[in-house]
Parts: sequence; C-alpha cells; structure tokens
Amino acid sequence: MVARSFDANDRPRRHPDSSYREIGGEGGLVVLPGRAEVKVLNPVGVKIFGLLDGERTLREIASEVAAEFDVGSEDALRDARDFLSDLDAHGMLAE
Amino acid sequence: MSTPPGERSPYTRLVEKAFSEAIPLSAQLEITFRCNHRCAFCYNAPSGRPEMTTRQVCEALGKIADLGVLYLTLTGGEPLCREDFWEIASEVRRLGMALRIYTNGYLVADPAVARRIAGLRPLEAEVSLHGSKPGIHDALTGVRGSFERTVAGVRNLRGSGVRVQLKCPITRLNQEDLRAIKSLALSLDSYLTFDAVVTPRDDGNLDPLALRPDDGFLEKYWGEWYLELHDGKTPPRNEPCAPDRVEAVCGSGRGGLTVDPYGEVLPCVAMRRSAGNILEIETLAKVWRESPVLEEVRALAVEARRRLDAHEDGPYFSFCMGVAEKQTGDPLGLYPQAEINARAVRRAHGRLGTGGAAGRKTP
Repeated sequence: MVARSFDANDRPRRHPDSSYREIGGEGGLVVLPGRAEVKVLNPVGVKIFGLLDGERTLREIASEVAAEFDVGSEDALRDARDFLSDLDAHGMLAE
Repeated sequence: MSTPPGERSPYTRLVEKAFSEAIPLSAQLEITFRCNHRCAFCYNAPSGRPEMTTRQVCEALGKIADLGVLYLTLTGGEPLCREDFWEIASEVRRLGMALRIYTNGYLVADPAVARRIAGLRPLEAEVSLHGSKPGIHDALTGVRGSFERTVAGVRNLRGSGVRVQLKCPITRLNQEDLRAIKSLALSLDSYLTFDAVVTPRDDGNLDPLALRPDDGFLEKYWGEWYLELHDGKTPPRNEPCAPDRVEAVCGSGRGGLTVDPYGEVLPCVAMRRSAGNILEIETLAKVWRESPVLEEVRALAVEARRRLDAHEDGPYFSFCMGVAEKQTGDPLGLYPQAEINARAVRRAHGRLGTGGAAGRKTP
C-alpha cells in the first residue's frame, strides 16, 4: 500500500473500524479487523490517534501535541505528518 | 521493525505494564446462558434468574467501555441465541471496542448470518470444534447434525472475510482425533487452539470431569504431539495468559473481567466471585479500583505464583484458580489435572531436550 502524504490543512480521520487504548501513560495499542498485527504507539502517537476525528486539521492536531509535549509547533507538525503516513501505510486511516 | 534478540518488544512491554498495574484490556460479556447445544462438559450453571434486557446489556457495555477496555468478547451460552444479538454487537462497535464473538457456529450455517457478522467488522470469531467428523463432534455437543452446521458456519465466515479461531477442548472422546482436527482446521483456513483442561461446572458440579482426557494420553500430548499440533512450538511453561515477568499466576481481576448474563462482575470467566452487579454501580472503574473481591483475587494470583515457584514442577504449571476453587475448595489448591499436565510438560521438555525453552520453535 502506498502511503499518502498529508498537508497541514488536511483533516485526517482514523479508520472507523479501528479500536485503540491508551495504557498507563506509556503508549497504546491500535487494532483493526482484517489485520493480524497490533500497532503499538508511543504516548505522542496515542495522543495524535485520539485526535484524528476528521474535524481537526493536521496543524490543529500538531498544536495540541506541542502544547502537551515539550516540542515546537513546526517539529510537531513534521513529526505528525510522518506519523500519519506510517498509519496510512498500515491502513489505519479512513480513505 | 523487529525487536533485537533478548529484548522485549514494545508490545510486550505495554502488555506487561497493563498486566502488572491491573489495567484491563479485555472483557467477556456472557449475554445469555441459553444454548442450542447440550455439551456434557459445559461449565455454565444457569441460576434461573432473569437475564439482562437489551437496554441493560447496552448499559453494561457503556460501563465496560468507560473502563477503557479494548477487546470485548460476546459469549454465552450461545450468544447468537439472543434475538437482540445484532443490536448488542452493534453497540460494542459503536462504543469503539474491538469485537470478538465466541459461538458454536451452528446458526452461522446460514450464509446470511455470516454476512451479517462480517458487517459488524469483528476482530475475529471464535468457534468451538470438537471433532474432525460428525460422530465425535455431535456426541460431544449432544446435537445430531451440529458438526455439518459448524463446519458450514466456519466456511461461511471465512468466505465473508471474517478471521476464525477454532477452539477445541480436549476430552477423552476426541483425544485421538486431534491430528485430524488440525488438518480440518487447516483446510478451513482457520487458526486452531486446544485446551487440555476440562473444568467443573460453575456451581461446583464435577460431572464434566468424567470427560477429561486420559492421563496416559496427556503424557503423549504434551510431548511429540504438541510439537506436531502447534507447528513445532514447544509446550508452554506457566499460565500462557500471564506475561513472563509478572508476579501473578494469571490475569484474573487484572488483565480483564467477565460479566455474566445477570450483570454480575467477575474477575474472570473461571473465578465466579461477584465484585458487584454492573447495573447497580455508578462506574465500573470504582469497582475495579476498590472491590475487596478483586483485590483478594489479585493477591491470590500472586500467592499462587509464589507457591508454584517452590514446587518441583513449578515452571511447567498452567494453573487456574477458578478450577482449583471449584475442584478442591481452595483457589490455591493443587488439582489433579494441573499436576498431571505440569509433570507431563516437564518430562516432555526433558525428552525433547528443549531445556524449558517454552513456546519456541524447535530447530
């Protein structure tokens, strides 16, 4: 599967069939029917995954991440883009 | 990216953390004790109380989801015997939990039922399979024709794109049929697991134990047969549902919980001590944190591990406190099946020269 690249104004949405769980502040798990793998996320990844509601822009998501974690807005935006491409490659985002 | 040898994977670390801090990842909801099979070894013991209504089941699901559970299994009895099964299963998905359905497959022989299950986008269906042919399977389910319907059901599920895990409790009626059951599972493109322990009924009735596999067979099963039936993997050490580095013997009241058809919150499917009724509590989180029943069960699981560690066959035990309590009256009591299995697993490791490298593939 070829992963999409994302623009700061995109409003990405997690796959509607996915289920996820944050675990004790150390990360979380995402599962998707039809896929044998369980995706393991770090704490920032869980935060982002929970914000992928199709309403927030990627820039807004990055801002929330920057506010919560010790990272600049532009770095957060770049990392979030990479993270979304990785999720997309694993089929964990809505089309 | 794979984890370097000797290091724990990020997944393992997270599961260990959840386990050791009693963060529940999974729940089983027994939505009914009704069933269209009459298995002689079934552990269910309905009390005759009214089962939860649709509205009450959905209320229970909401509380389970609020607790943060990831994996929710709808089970029974036979869950598809409830007319409102579809409404309940849809609610599981609406709440964002990953759905598993544990069924005997009988009603899924209707392709429309399989398609409807596929439409729920479940993580998988778990289907009980008791034999490779009608004679054995039907004798164990007590229903003529159940084998053909279950196999048709599995084919329908696979044809609809649903992943299937076949579950085979080993009994003295099917013990010599396991290789053929494995072949059947492969032909059905489904994963197969065996369970070598027959448990007493939930009310303590020991009748199901009459069907437990022969001791001599278990000696064979845990050795060469195990490797063959598990694609070269060696027999497990300790309770497979407890991560290696956790001090408890199992995940009862720790990694997950069970809710019975009456709404009673139980530490697990085998340990039938109620921590309260889910319809009478405000939040499940409060019960999960503060219940003296759950606190005691977690402590018992740690004590069980400590005692087993001091036993000669300690590393080879798969120990269930629920079975122990029903069979011996003591959740820490050693019951014959656990001892027989542990001894057989130890001998098997000795014979195979695997040095206790449990769960790994032989070279």
